[in-house]
Amino acid sequence: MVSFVDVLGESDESALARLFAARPDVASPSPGNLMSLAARITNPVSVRRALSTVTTPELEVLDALAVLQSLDLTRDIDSLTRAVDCTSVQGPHRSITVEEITDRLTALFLAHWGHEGLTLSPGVVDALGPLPAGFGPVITRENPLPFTPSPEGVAHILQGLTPERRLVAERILEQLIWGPPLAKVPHDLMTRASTVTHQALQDMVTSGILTLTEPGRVVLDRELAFALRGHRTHRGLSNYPSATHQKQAFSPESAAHTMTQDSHSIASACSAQALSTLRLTEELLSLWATTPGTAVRAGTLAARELRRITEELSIPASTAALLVEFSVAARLVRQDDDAPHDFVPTLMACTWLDLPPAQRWEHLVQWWLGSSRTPWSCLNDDGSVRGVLDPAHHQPWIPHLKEQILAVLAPPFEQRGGHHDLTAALTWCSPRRTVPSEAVAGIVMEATQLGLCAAETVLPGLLTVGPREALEAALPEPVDTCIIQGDLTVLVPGRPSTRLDDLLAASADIESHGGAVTGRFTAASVARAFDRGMSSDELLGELEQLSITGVPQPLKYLVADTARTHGAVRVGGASSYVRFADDATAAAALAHSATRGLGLFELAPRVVASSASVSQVTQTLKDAGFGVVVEDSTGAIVLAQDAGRRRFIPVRPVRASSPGGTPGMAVEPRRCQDVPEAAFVPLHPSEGLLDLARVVRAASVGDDREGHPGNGDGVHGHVVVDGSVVPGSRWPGGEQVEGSGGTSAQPHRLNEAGSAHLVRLRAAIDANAVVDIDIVDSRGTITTRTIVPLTLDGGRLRGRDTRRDVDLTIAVHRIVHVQESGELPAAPPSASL
Amino acid sequence: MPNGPLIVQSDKSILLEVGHPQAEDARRAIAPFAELERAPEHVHTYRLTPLGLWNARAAGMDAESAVNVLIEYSRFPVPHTLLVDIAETMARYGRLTLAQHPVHGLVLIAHDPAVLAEVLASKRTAGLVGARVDEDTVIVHPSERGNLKQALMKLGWPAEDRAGYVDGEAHAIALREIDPAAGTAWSLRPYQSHAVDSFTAGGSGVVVLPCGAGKTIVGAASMAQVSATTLILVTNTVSARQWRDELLRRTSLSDDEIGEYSGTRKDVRPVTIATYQVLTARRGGTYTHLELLDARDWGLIIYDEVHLLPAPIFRMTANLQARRRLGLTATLVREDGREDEVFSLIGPKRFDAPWKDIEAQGYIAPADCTEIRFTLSDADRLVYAVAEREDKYRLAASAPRKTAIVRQLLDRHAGEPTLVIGQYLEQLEEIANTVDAPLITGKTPVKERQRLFDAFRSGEVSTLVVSKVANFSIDLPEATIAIQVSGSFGSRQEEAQRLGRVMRPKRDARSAHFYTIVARDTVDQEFAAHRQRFLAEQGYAYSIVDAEDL
Repeated sequence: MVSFVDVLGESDESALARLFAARPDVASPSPGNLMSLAARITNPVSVRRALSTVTTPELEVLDALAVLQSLDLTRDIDSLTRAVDCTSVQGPHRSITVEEITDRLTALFLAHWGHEGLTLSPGVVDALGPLPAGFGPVITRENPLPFTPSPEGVAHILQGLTPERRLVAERILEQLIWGPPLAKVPHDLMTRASTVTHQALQDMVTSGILTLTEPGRVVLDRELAFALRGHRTHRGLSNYPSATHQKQAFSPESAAHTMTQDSHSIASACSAQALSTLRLTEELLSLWATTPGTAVRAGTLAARELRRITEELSIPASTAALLVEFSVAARLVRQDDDAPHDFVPTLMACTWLDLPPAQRWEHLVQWWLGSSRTPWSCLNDDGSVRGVLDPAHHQPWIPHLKEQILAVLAPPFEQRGGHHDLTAALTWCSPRRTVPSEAVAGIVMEATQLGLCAAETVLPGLLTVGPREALEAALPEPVDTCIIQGDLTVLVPGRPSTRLDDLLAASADIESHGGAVTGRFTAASVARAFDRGMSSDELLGELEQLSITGVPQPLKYLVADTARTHGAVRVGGASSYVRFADDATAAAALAHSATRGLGLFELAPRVVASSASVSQVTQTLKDAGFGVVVEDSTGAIVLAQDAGRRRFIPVRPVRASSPGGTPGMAVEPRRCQDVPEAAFVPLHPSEGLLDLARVVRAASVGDDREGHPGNGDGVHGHVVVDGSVVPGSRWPGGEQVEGSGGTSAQPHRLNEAGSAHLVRLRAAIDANAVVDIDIVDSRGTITTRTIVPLTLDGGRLRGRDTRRDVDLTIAVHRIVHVQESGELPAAPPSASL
Repeated sequence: MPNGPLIVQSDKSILLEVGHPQAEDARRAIAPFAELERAPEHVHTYRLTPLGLWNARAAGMDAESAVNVLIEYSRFPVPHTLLVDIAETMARYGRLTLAQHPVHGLVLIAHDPAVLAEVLASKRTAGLVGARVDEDTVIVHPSERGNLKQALMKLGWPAEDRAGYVDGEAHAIALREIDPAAGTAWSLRPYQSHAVDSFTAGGSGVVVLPCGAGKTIVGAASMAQVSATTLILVTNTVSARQWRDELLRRTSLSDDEIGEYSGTRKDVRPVTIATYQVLTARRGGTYTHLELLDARDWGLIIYDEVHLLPAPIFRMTANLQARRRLGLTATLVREDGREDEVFSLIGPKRFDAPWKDIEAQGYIAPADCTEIRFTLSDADRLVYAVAEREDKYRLAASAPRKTAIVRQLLDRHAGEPTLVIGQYLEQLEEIANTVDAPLITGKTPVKERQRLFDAFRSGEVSTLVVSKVANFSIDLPEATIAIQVSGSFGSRQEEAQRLGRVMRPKRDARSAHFYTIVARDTVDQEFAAHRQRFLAEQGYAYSIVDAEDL
């Protein structure tokens, strides 16, 4: 048997680098040498994780390999193609050949080329489960079957039955051939003969077609099933779920789809939504900049705060919840360190507000993509919203799912040929990972709210040119004209240009957004324009220029009338005032050189205000020789309010596990362009991974390179790959390398011998071989046991001591030596399921 | 349709570009399910409301057509959530149906058992329904037909009433072909007969027509269609007389067949005209004239000015659900927000024609609205500035300067029939004295009123000064000028009525003028802003001038 380490040894650096790219968990921390790399690749946790990334046809090919391998059949491409009964399968974009599939499986080291052809790597058979492709177990018999295992042989046996039993037997067999291969029968099947079915079953068991593995259960032998399937394992591989073409009964969804079929309408729907989300986010930020949002103790947004947002922004609570989550994820808002119950916009928000729309959107989208928050958890079935920003609402696999969903929804509608079931497509892409449907629906909802997709189709160009350019291309041409009507309303039929937008923001109350913007001029809104420094002539001139319907008389009158009263009352700020007894003293004080720095200005005869503080004015005037008395200020001095009271706080530094941050927030923003396609992504390992592969290989070719940097197998702590710390995992928990004891945060140092033991033990499990193992106990005594290893998982080896006929479980770290025993396995375990 | 005339906003408003070549098609397509909110000169705004959508469902329109109309005429993609919302809202109407069961009588039938379970679990329906017949059907006490409909409307599951109507006592009524007053042939205007057809097809419901568009004639024609004894409920005695005159003029009914049931006379005849006031009059906590409703086996009940229907009438109407009901109004907008009760108790909207459309057809006169602003004298300003809140409006509205301006306007339109309308009697008296015109107030005896109105019609009197009584249901066909000196706080409904006074078609196609006189920088001006908005939204040319420039 070729050791798996040898297989790794034969692989070149680029193959290893591709492995590291595809299975990041085996690359971090640096595996040190091939032996420990082999141990990691064959680790059941890692194998299961790798299997969770493969697509349905890949999984089917693995199943086929498992069957062929268990029947000792040749496993070259040709025989594999025959077994799966097809040469290619339809993927999301193109058809994929069986060869491509096997290439990918070998790249993942789930299978490798051995002497007998393609061979599953150790641990994979176990991970695939006991019934690959719906085949039953291989049954070892003492006596050969009394017939040739072929359809003809079986038919011959069935011929011998009475016609009615034959009919039943054929139907039973029909069910079992393509799986599941098990059938429940009465426990006393062989002794009772009550019905035809029971008699037929008895006949089939007696003749050897079915095997009674335990009382009450019959199975169809794998070899026989393979023959009955026509020496195939599958009836072709599963194609990517095709779109549904049939016309559905009317539903709002179908109506919306008929409308949004072409990419132009998708683009305009997305861009409208994106702009609306941006606008609402701006409103949220300026709301919180003036009065911070309030949180309850756990860091969750207070219910009354959510209510305030829904009222101020006139949006439903669910939208408000998403907006808040987006803003926090994009680091535009965070809890204030000084006032932990306050949510305050960050300095990043300050910068963000000044960016052009497409850039603002890009920022939101990229941080959202990296965020593992699950905001839909706070939406209840009854429409209520509870627990926005709840620190518990996050799942580590969310960013990956987001990418996957975007990739599945990315092809334009017409290329997809219609709408297909998103869940079915996701299941095809990773059948071994079950995704909760509410997560899928939640992510689609978030993406729709952000404007990433509309009618389940992604904004054209999002994944190729990135959000900024995609949005810029999708935004409608800005409109530079408006319609002003006699009822003092204004309408912009489209997206207002910057000039128009600024003008309307200054001079009108915006009433509704959507395809158009509508607003209304009121005395207050016109006064606002005057506050910003416009004169009535300027305002009317601008409106006259931009309005295609002119300025109606009532609006002209309104502007003139507002201008008439505007400024009738004036308010200014001063820090102190000075009253003089007579004009001469006032003139003297104002003319004195010492008072120049006080910013004195005359309000009325003998009354002067100053921007300097009372103490400063008093001191300066005293120094200049004036007889100064400080007036009692109760109710007399009105301090100018700090008009804005807007404040911004710095963004918290980004750390993988920032203690005070909201859990689930992204560590860094993600680029949409980096979202891989839904399936069959070409692996392009980075330079860093290639370097790592070189190091790992070099360490194993015998060079004495102890202490080579990077060869530490975790002793140096973090290993820098690709210029950044390799993120631990998208699946925290279960991350520890086998044998690490599962408690230490630092990866356990796994020496070469230890890795070799694990590899040998796994090989022995796969081969059902007997091994001698030396075990050291807590007192240091070494004992040798001869066992048949059964499973190796979670740092524990379970095996059967054939001499003493007992099962035992041994902690892996107690095993100091493993070698193949000369003994033959005792009575082979009967087909264990 | 990338260049359609509609823009659908996410707040459920629909903007219609009037100048677009497809604007009229689009207007016709959306009118059944969207309520016209405002109709200024360039862009009209419609709004989608649950009531509007249910009205459309009641008229037989389905969600698919509504959604398709929006998609077809929209310039930009319609927000998906909005389409879903339309479909969901429309689907709520008709899930429950009131029907006659051959065995159990009146029953509520659900097409969705879950909905029935939901409404039966609610406290609002407790006591209104009887035993369950089967999973989908529950017996309804016939007397609770109206209350149940109201309760279901409040629960958001409006029921479709297919339980039918009693025919009532038959009474032959026909429309005359010759107008005896003018001696010429007349016929229903196209929109009037359309309104009558829509009503008779629907059985019960509301016809919305602007003032001056001939609501009374629609009522008369509906009576002719039903040809049964009819109870007509009107707002006041003057209006009752008007109805009587119109019926005598337009139908085969004779004087003996029409009775008046009011504070002064209590005649019950095959056609009886009663005032809301007498019906809602109470003595010792009980309504004393309720027997009128059961005095005959009425085949039709007509509610004039539905938007003014007092709350007790709603309660009485709840018990009249088996009789045909016709509501007539110029606006469905109720200041008290009880539009849903009109829908559930009288019936869905059966016909609606925007003012402007009928005006464009030449049946009502176009009106120019002018607001005249003047500045209070310095002394008045000081008085106003320190006045109590509740006195401020009176002070501003009855400013002495207004009298002079009225005089100026009368001089400008000398000889033209003019109404001066106001709220404060002192002010009206002063104006009447100054301009030497007769004054009509609530205290003026009905006979005297009629005499003055007749004189006004014949041209003997060119100017009338009237108080609030002018608001409702009096017919002054020859007024071309209306001058409003004060009003009750800029109510939209009052404005519609007042404008109605000058909107009757004029013999010589002169345009009508509606003036309001407003004191600058006072609450009067604030109310004027509401008025301006309302009138501009109705599409009337509105301008503001300074009194100095007059």
